[in-house]
Amino acid sequence: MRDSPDVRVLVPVAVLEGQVIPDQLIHLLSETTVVLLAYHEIPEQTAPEQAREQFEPKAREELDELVSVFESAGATVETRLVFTHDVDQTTERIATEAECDAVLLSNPAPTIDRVIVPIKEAINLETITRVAAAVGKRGDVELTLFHAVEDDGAVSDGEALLDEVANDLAVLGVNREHVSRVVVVAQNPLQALIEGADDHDLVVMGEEKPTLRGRLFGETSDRVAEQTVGPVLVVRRPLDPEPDDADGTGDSE
Amino acid sequence: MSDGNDGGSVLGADPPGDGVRVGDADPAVDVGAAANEVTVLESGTELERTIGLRGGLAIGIGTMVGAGIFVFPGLAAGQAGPAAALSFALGAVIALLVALPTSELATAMPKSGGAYYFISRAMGSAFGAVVGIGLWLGLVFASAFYLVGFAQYAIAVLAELGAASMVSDLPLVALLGVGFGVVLTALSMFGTENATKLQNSIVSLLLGILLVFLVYGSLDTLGLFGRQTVPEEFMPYGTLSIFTTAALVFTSYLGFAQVATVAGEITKPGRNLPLAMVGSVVVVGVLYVVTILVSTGAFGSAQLAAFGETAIVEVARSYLGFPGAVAILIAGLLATVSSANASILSSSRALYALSRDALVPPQLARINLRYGTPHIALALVGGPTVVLVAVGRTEVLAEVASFLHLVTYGLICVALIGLRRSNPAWYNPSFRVPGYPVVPVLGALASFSLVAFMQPLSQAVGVAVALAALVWYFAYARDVRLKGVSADA
Repeated sequence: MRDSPDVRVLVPVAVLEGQVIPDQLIHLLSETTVVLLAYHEIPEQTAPEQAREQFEPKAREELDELVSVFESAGATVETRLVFTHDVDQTTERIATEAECDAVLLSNPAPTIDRVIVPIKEAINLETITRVAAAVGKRGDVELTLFHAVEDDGAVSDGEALLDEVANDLAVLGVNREHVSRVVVVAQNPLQALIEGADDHDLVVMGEEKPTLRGRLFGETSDRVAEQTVGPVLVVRRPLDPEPDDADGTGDSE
Repeated sequence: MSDGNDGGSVLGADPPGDGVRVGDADPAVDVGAAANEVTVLESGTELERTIGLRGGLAIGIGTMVGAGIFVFPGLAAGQAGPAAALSFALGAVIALLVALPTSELATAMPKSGGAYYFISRAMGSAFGAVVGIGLWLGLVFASAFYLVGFAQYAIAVLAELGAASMVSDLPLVALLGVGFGVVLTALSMFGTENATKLQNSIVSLLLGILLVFLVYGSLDTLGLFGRQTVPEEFMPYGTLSIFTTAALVFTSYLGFAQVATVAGEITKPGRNLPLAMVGSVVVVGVLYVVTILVSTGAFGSAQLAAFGETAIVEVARSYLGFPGAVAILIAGLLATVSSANASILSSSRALYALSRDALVPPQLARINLRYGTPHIALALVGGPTVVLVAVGRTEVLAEVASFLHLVTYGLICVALIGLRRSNPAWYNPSFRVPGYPVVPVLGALASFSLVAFMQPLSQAVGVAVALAALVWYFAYARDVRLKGVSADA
């Protein structure tokens, strides 16, 4: 676990395309350190330097405005401004460099009152708990811990798991009364989650290891973001230790 | 004057660690701080690097492979006989002698604009103007040449379909070449999503087709399948013809330096730039030499010359029958299009680099707000290209393109020697030429002397373009001073 309880959230913004971060989201992230990634995606036939020369002043201006909005809501803000041909590569790189715990996939969000947090044993539970706590401890949102099991026999194990998470959340300062627990029995956990997310405004979920299915059909979090109307906060999984990246920026479990 | 160095204010940005240096670059050459995947400018703004080694090789090979295999074998064999293989080998050696110095300069200055940037920073704005304008127009000539090649292949396809006789009274080469030139320019202006991925797969497909064809052809030529090769003297047209042919076919090697024009976008530039440039020259050089040997093994050189630009289709037919001919026709269409497309894009980068330094009006580099593309620069490439397609002859187009590039290549070698001697503080290449100073000296000598073996008409056009560039420089931009460049002080 990182020494500081600070939660770092990467917020990518298409800075020159008038992308708006909903006020509710800004409010929600006010307890975190927001790494504001202002990017401008350019076609391959344009040199990034060329776009930079023409658009940098405008981009800086828009970025400054966003920063002041986040700061006046109480968040600590760091900024990055990137001109890129490939937004996914840029998001991944900045998330790693800036040691972000979570990445926001922004969807419009008129109000954020109810947050669903799908819990799987396998995925990065400690960081998810910290991020959910950062979102939930303001006290004005309801957290739903969500766990899908395949058969009735596993329900009690699921409840135990969610109890554990709820306790951890309480330790991190979340009021127990704002946390509810749902264990569902479902053959298709992803579909169950999308249905469960229906009456929620924000999903906080763990990033999964890239799988073949993920490469073919899109990562789970992207599919959730597509099929739910609200924003998704994707909690990054710890970095795989790479041989030439031995300084190890990832969290220890 | 603008030096591309006018960064905005630094916000509370957190500059990334990991060996990235911010703000200690000499203002003369704002190379930014080049890390593996990003360049961080003084203002804290980051430019993502997105082209890997594979992409770099695809640019190099994709630009080059169109000409040497799909246009030149007939023409070259007609001039030099089987010894045309030596001409291609000579061209490859010269290209390598230049590719190594270019790699060193590109790793020291991984910026858009490639050769123009190196030479203007090492030798001042006058040389820069000649080289930049020469590169722009050189690539215009090259694109026109590829489009003429494309038109020849399209006509060969029509002939294969039996439709050629219906339209034989039309100036087909000009019509098809101009038409497709307009289409390519429009595509690049209005945004082509995933053009790089497409280029990568086209190059892979091409290499696959060529590998099958050349391996089979080589084995067959060596007599493994009982073929009688056409007996012919190796040098029927004398030794000199090897050099004049080398001058003609050098257009087939105008591609490695295009990798340098996207040097600002290549990941791990210290490793990938040299590998992509040297690797692509070696790959296409081997392919060219084998192609000539296989072609002259199938037909006499007089016969090959009579087949013209699409001689390789007949060669494929003689080895692999109708399917072979079809495969090579498709490959020829793909290769010439990919070469033309890559050249148009590089050419617009050269214009951008010139306008960044105020050597041409800044409007040229404007980016279209709707499509995000440098539409004016692209139009200034596509327009002259289709004019040349309409009026040009293959050999002259090729030689003028080579002329303008060879002058640039020679100057690249001179610039390298100059920079090594003056050794400015910012000059810190991560790749250094082996065999310095022999390699750049030989590279410069070879580049300049190859020009001497061209047709008088091509030389005249080339000299005229260079002079026009000088006139432009003195009329428009003589007071441009590039910051910190000693030749301009």
